[in-house]
Amino acid sequence: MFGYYLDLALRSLKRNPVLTALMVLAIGLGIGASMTTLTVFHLLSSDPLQGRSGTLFYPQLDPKPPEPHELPRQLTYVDAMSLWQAHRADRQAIMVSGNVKAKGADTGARAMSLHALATTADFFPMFGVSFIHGGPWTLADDTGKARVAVVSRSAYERLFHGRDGIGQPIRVGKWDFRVIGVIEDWRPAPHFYDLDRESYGQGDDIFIPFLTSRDLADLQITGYSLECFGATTDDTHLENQPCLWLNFWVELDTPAKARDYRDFLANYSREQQAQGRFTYAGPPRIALPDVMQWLDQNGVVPSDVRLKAWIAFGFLLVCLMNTAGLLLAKFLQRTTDISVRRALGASRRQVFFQCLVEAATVGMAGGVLGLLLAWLGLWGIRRSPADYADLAHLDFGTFVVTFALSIAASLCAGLLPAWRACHIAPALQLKTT
Amino acid sequence: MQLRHVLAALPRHKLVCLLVIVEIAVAFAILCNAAFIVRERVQQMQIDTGLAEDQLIYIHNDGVGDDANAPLVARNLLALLGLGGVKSAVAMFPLPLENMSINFRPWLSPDMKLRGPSAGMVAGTPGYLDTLGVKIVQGRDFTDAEYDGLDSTTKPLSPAVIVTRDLADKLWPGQNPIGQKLWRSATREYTVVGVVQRLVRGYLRKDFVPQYTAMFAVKPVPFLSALYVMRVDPSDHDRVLREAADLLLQLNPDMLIDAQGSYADVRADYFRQDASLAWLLSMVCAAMLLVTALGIAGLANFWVQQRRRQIGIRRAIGATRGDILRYFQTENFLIVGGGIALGALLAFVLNLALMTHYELPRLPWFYLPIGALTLWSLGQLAVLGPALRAAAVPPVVATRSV
Repeated sequence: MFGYYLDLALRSLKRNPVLTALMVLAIGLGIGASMTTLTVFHLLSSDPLQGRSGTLFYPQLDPKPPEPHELPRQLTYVDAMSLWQAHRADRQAIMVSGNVKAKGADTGARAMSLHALATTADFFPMFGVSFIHGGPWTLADDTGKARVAVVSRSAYERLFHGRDGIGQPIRVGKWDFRVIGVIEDWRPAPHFYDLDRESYGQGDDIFIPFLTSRDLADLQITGYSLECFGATTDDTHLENQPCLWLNFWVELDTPAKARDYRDFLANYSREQQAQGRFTYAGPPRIALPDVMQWLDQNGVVPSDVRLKAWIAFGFLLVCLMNTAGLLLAKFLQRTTDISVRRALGASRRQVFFQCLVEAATVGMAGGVLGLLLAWLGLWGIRRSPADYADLAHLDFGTFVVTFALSIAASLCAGLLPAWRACHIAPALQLKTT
Repeated sequence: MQLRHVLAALPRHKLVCLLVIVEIAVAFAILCNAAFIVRERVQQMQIDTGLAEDQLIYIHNDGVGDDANAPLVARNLLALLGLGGVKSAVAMFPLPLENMSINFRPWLSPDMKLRGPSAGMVAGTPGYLDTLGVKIVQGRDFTDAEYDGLDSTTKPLSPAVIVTRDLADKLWPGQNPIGQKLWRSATREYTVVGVVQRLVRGYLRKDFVPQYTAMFAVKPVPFLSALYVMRVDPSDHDRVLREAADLLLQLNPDMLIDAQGSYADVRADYFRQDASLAWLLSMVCAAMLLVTALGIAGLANFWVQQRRRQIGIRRAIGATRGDILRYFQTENFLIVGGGIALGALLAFVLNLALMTHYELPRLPWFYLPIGALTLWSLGQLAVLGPALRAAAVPPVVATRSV
């Protein structure tokens, strides 16, 4: 039966090629625009650390003077060190980034600018960063301020040109660091652990122990946004300045541990209030968002991207109504056909399904066009200068969703017309012709 | 006369009419709001920075390092000045819209009680205001002797400051700003020596006024060495940039140049998201108008086919071709009008949603008549073909069976 309906649908579509083309164009344009924007939206709002992100939390404290403000996004050195040294989470890491100038130790090597992250040993196991050579540094390296570095695969290749560099020195600024590990290039999108950086840009190139970087303050690894809330005396040595500049992440594997950690933060805040370091009165101002909450609360997905997706779906709605109108007019014009079929014994259901098959055929063709347009749209985005440009690809999921959406959309558009068509009274129509 | 016929016939296909009305309403609502967003963004993108933009080129690099290298900055500037085509060269921080900024809230009394709004700090080497093309409207430019170093918190040592007109009006309303004082800490006191018409800060933010800028006089120090700005003839941009970059690399073998270009590049880079949104919305609007127009034309075509007999009868009993033409035009006008009426309401609702979620201002009323006019003309244009075909139906059709 389905084959027969399909045959009828194709015949009917061929009878009005211009109209068919119009419907396919409308659905195709709507689907193409929606899929392009949806792909980008999906790409930008996805979980950067699937399976892990629910156990990673970002503690927030409030050391600022009590005029009204939002809970600060970063920590002061004093607070970050206190939380880190307390070791109350399963894992914890301080992190702050900057650009450094580095070169291979061999003479004549040209310096290059690398994205550096100063962090602590737990960073690698906490975020599940995979090593291809060597391994991470240890807590002892952190406290001993060892001059060791972990580099990304691409930085490793640029520094050593294929030679074995593990254990070899590289020059960072004026100092030598020993390379102890190489990680696979890691580019979480968004770059959740340090929002100062481009959210969808390249990952970090070189990782060094945080305390070592404090020793070498001239490296200027102090984050890109530095917020000072009191009188400062030094912009380089920030240890005892009233400045917010450090990121801090903790891993808490069970909800019970997360609860405990929240209590710990509250107690810590109360202590600081009692000591007069935190000057606000009242209950402790703390928060402990997980990865997705953190991204949400900082508005990492550009609101423009969301807006584009909404507008594209509005456009799809217009296209659908357009197609529905055309289908309706078409089915109603074919009342004679339908009446003859009804008179010859086709049930309402059969007429209804036949109409839907016709609508779905249009949807299928629209889907092909839409896919083509989405592919073209994403190609355009890849060539744009946005930091997420090179991530915009049509994946299998999008492919399936495009067709599903397209057929569902055309069925929606066809539902009303089909309903009307199957309620035509055959006798009346046959009489008038 | 026409209207009566049209109104009598419309309920005959009310479902299709209703669909078209709703379609036009949604299209109208999106069109008005999208056009408004596009205009807002384009306006933002056209912000006046206060610079002689077409004459500026820049080279961004990793700087010369620590204070021991300070003489290198002056040497680099001197070398750049020696290039053919360079009218002036300065080191500074930051260029407007460079996406970097040091912001501070000036105190207006030494007891640090009264505080002004957030202002952007701009600092540069001798002659930088001239190089940027910033116009001094009151007081004077810095003298060469006033350019000095920075303290360990990047606050200029020189006590002279120049502010923008708008910042002066905000800090000292109704008073002569020249000679007024502001403080950046208990010990850092600055005296206003001049006022410039306008200069925009390093980046824009919702809670910032773009043109609240304070300019300071800083001699060539490493802090400023990451950005060299040169004033050249627009026709010389590419050549001078190339030569300047080569020269700097030759003088400073370890230098890393991370960005270079004309000021137009800075601006384009800063607004690329807005440009992309404006572009996408314009495309969607165009596509929506196209789809709507084609849909109207397709439907009208249908109706003409469907009503050939009736048209023939009307012609046979005396209707002119013009009558038939106007019949279809009137019908279209009414349907589109219905869509617009409903669409005005939808546009308002959509605007409210955008106002709450995207901080868009209220939609100005004049977008509605302009949008209505656009859709009406589009509808008339779309229906013209089918209507002409209808008018061409000969009366004799009435006598034939279909």
